[in-house]
Amino acid sequence: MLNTTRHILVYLLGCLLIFGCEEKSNWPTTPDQAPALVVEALLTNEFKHQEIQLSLTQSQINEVPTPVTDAELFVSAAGNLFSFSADPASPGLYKSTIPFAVSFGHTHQLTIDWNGAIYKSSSTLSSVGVLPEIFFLPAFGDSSKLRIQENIPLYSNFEQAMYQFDIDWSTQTGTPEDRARVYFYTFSDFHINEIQPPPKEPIRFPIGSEVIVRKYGLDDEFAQFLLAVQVSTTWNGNLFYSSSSSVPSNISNGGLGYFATCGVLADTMVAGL
Amino acid sequence: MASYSKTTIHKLITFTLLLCLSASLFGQQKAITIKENQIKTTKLLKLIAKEGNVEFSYNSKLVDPKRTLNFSISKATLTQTLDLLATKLQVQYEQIDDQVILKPTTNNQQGNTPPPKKKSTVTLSGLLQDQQTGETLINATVALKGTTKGVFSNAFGFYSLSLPAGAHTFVFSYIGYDEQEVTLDLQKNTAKNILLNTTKIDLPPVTVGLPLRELLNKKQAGNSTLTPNELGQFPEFGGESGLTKGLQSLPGIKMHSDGSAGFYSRGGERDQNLMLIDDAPIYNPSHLFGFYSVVIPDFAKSITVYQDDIPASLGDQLSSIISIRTKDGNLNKMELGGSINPFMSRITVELPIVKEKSAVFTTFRRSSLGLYGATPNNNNNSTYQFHDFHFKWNYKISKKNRIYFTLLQISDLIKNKNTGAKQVNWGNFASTLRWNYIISPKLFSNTTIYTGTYAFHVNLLDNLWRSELGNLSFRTDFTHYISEKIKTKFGVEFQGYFIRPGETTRDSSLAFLPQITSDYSSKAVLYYQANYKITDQLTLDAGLRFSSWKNNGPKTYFLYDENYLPVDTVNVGSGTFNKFDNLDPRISLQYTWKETNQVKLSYGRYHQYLQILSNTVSPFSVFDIWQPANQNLAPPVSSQYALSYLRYLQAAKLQISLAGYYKQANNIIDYAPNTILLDNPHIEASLRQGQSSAYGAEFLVKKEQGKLNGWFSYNYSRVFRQTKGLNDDSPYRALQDRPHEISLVVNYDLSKRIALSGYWTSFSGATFSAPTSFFTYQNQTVPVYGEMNNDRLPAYHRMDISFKLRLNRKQSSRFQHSLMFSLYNAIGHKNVYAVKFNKLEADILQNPTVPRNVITQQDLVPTKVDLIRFFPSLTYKFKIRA
Repeated sequence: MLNTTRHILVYLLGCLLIFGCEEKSNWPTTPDQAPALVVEALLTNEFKHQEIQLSLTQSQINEVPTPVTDAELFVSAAGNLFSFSADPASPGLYKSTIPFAVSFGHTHQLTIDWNGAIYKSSSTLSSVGVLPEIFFLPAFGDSSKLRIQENIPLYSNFEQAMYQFDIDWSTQTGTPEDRARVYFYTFSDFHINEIQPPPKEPIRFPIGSEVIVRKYGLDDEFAQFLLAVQVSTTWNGNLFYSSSSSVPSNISNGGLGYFATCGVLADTMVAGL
Repeated sequence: MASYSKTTIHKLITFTLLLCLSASLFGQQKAITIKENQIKTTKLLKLIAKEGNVEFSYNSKLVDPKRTLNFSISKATLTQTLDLLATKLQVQYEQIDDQVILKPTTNNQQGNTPPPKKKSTVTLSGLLQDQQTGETLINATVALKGTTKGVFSNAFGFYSLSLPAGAHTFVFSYIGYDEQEVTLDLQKNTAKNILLNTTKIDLPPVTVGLPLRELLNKKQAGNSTLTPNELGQFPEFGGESGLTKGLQSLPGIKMHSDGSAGFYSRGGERDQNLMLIDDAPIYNPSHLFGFYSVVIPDFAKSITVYQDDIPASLGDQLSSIISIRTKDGNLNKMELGGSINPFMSRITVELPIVKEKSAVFTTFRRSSLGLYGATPNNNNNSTYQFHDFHFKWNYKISKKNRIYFTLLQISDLIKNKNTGAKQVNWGNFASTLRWNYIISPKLFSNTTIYTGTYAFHVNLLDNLWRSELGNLSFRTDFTHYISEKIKTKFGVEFQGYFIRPGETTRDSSLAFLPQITSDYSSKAVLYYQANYKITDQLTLDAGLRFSSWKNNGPKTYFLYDENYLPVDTVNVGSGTFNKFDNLDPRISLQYTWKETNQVKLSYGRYHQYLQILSNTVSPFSVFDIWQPANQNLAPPVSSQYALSYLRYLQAAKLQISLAGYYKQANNIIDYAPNTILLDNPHIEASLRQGQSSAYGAEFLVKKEQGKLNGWFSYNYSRVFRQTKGLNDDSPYRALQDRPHEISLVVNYDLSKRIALSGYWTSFSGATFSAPTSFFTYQNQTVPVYGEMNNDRLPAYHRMDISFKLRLNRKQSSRFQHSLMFSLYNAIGHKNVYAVKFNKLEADILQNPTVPRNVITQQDLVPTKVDLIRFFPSLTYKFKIRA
C-alpha cells in the first residue's frame, strides 16, 4: 500500500513538475507546395498479383489521402513488361494484370504516367535471411494477454530486414476490428532517435491469436528509406531527437514514397507462452 | 614625445631580449668572475651584461668606449660587480629590474654642476589577498591616489605598478572589501602583499564603495563577469542556482530551453563556447541534461565570459570562452560547509595544511534523484544519478613560487533500477597542475600542465559502446608589466588530443558495430598580447595568436568525390598527414572620457579545430561526438566586429552599456538530410560546411549597490545559415535565431536576515522545421518538410523567485546557516521546447503514445512538449568556521 502510494505521488510529482507534459495542440500546417504523387510499391519474390498504391500528399495531418486512380503504370524486367490496372474496389490500388514474382539478378523498372508527367524508379531484389524464432510474453499490466517479445535486433551489421506481424484475435472475440499489424526493423545504422524512443501504443492480444510473420530482406537504400520513416514517425520525440528532414525517395520527378523489391519469408503461428 | 618613443622602443627591445632569455631567468643569480687586463669598456660592459643577465643603458658621452681598464673580480654578486664597475668608470649606477643605468656622479663627488634631477622609476608589486582566508583576489584595483594611474591584479592576485621614486599614496580596493589606503616612500623596487578585509554587511553580500574608475575599466561590454555572490543570489532550481542559468542572464547569451546546458553566444553554435576551469576544458558542462551545472558554485572564485575581444592567450573557439578561476582554500582556518535539498546534497571542506602557506579545498556533491526511482510503468526501469568531486591544493613554496593542483571528476549515470546495471553513463574529468613564479617585480610567469576529457558509454546487449575525447596540454605564459603604460602577455602552448568517435568493447567477437579508428591530433600555439595606454583616455589592446593544428597517425581515413561518395581509403602509419597553420589578429581600441564614459571598438578573428557532431535539436546533449578539423573538413573561422559603449551614472549608481556586433563565420558544419551520426565510419560524407552570419545589439542597465540591486538587459539579434546543397542553397534562419530577449534580475534585502530575489526572462522561441504536408506509407503518416526552420516555437517566459532567511542572528558567528526557498517558473508558463506530429491523443495523466497498430486508422494530433511548469525547492545551507 505504501509502495503504491509512493508510486502515485512520484508519478503525479513527476508529471506536474519535472516532466511537464505533452499536450494536444492546434498547430497549423502551412502547405507550401502543390500535392505530390506518393508511391507505395513493395514487390516481392512471391508469385502473386503484385500491388502498388498511388496517392497524393495531404496538406493536413489527418486528412484522408486522395487516391490516384487515373495513372498508367507498368514494371519491366529482363525484357518482360508487367502491366498494372486500378482496382475499382480499392481506389488508388493497382494490381498486376497477371501474377508474377520478382526475380534475382534483374533490375526492375517502374514507370508511372500520371497527369502528363512520367515518374520512374528501379530496384533489384534483395535477399532475405532466416526467420528467427518468435516468442510471446505476458503483456505489461495485463498478464492474461500477450505481447511480442522484442528480440528482433535493432541493429545488425550482416542483414537489414523488416518484420511485419499480422495478429488476429477477431475469431475469439467476434469483433472484426480485433486485429493488429505491427512492424519491427533491423538496420545496419544506429540512429540517435532509437535511444529512449517515445512511448508506443501497447499491443496486447489473447493467447491463441493467429500471428502471421513476414520477414522482408532490405537493400541499403530501402533500409535508409524505412529508417528515415521511423525517425520521422515512431522514433520521433525521444530525449535526443534530431532535426527534421523529409525522408528520401527513389521516385523520379519529385515523386515521394518508394519502389522496392524484396525477398520474403513468412510463417504462421498461434500465439502462446 | 620622441624621447618617450625611444624609451618605449628600448623597453620593447629589452622585453624581447627577456623573452629570449626567459629560460635563464628561472635560475638563481650566478656568481660573477671576471679577470681582464686592458679590456675595452664596451667589451667589459657586454661581459658583465652576459654574466649578470642585465642590460646597460648609458650616454656615450659619459662612458668612453675606447677607454681600456683592468677589471678583476671573483665569485662576486652582481651588486659587487656593479659597484666595482662604477668605481672604475667614476660613474653612478641605478638598477631597475634587469636594467642598469649608468649616470654621472653627483656634484659632491665630482664638483661639477649637477644635471637636472630626474626621478628614477621604481616598481611596487605583490599579491592582493583576503585577510581572513588568504585567498588571492582577481582583478582587484591598485590605484595611485589622486591620479588616473592604476592596475588590476591578474588571475593569480599579482599586481605590478611602476612609477617615479618617492612617497605615494595607494588605494587598494576590491568589490565587497574595505578599501585600504597605504602611503609608501618608494626609493627602490618594493614587494608588498596587501590583505583586504571583507566589508561587514549582512547577507546577501553586495558591492560597496565601488570606485568609479574600477567599474569603468573592468565592466567592458562583451567581456562580462559573474561573481559567485551574484550566482548565489539567483533563485535556485533543485538546490542550486547553477552556473549555466547565471550565464544565460547575461547579454548576448541565449539558452536553448529548460533543461539545456547548451547556450549560444552572439549567434554562434553551442560548440563554439568553451568552459575552462583553471585552464582545463570542460567539454560537457551539464548534469541532468542541463538542469545542474557541473561546476559546484562554492568552488568558483571568478567567472569571466569573453564574447568579443577574446585575448590572444585564450582560444580556439569562435564565439565565447568562459574562464573560471577556482578558490584556493582558506590558508588560515578550517571551514566546513554544505547544503541539503531533496534533490541533491553537497559538502565542502577548506583546510589549511600549513598555515598561510598551503591549503586544500574539496567539495563533493551527489544527486538524490535515484531515491525517487522511475514512474510506475514497467516499461521504464531507469533511474538517474550524478555526482561531482572537486579538489584543489595549493602550496606557497616561497614568496615568489606557488604551485596549485586542481582536479574535477564529474559523472552522470542512467541505470536499470531492477538490475542495477548501467545503461548510459557520461562524464568529464579535468585536472591542472600549475606553477606561478614571480620572476621579477615586473615579470610574472604561469606554467600549467592540464588535461580534460569527456566520455559517454552506452550498454548495448552484451557490448559496451563508448566515445571519448581527451587532451593533455602544456602551457607557459608570462605577464610583463613593462611600464605603467605597457603590459604584455605572451606564451606558448602545446596540446595533444585523442578522440575516439565510437568503439565497442568487452567482447570483440560480438563487435557488431563498425569500428572507427581514433583520431590523434596536436596543436601548438604561440601568442602575444600587448596593452598599451596611449594616453590617459586611449588604450590599445592588440594581440596575435598563431596556431598550428596537425592530424597525426595511425589513422584510416576516406577520401570522397564531389558527390560525397568514398573514392579511396588511406591508411596512415605514424606521423602527420594533415596540417593547418593560422594567424589570428585581435585588436581593440578603448576611449574613456570624464571617467564615466567608455567606448570600445574591437575586431577579432578566431579559428576552431574541434566541433561537436550533433544534429539533435533537443535541449539535452549527452551523445556529443567531437570531430577534429582534417583533410575533409577545414577548420571553421569567424571574424567579429564589435562596438560597445559603457556609461556610469554616478548619482543613480547605475551602469549602462550598449553593444553592437557583426559576426561572419565560414566552414560551419551542417548535416545532409537524415544523417546518421552515431558510429558512422563515413560520417564525413554526411557533413556539409557552410556560412553563418549574425548581428545584434545588446543593452544592459545594472545596479550593483544598495539594498535593491540587479540588472535589466534587452538583446536584439539575428542569425542566418547558408550551406551549399541544403535548403536549395538559400539562406535560412538558424535554430538560435531569436530576435528578442529580455532579462531582469532583482535582489532586495528585506532585512538584515532576509533577502528576496527574482529573475524574469522572456525571449523569442527557437526556430524549427514544421511539416508542410504529409503522406501515407504503410498506413503511417509521414511528414514532408519544406524550407528549413520555417516555423518558430512559442515565446519563452519564466519567472523564478527566491526567499532566503539567515538562521543565525549574528553574521559574524562561526556557525552560519540559512534556508532558501525557490520557485522555478513561478508563473507556471508552459515553455514549449518541441512540437510533434506523430502522437495519438491521450487521456489525462497519460503521456501521448506513438501509434503502433497500422491496420486501424487512428487520428494523430500535433502535440506541444514542455518540461517544467513549476518547481519549488527548499535548501538548507550551513557553514562552520573553526
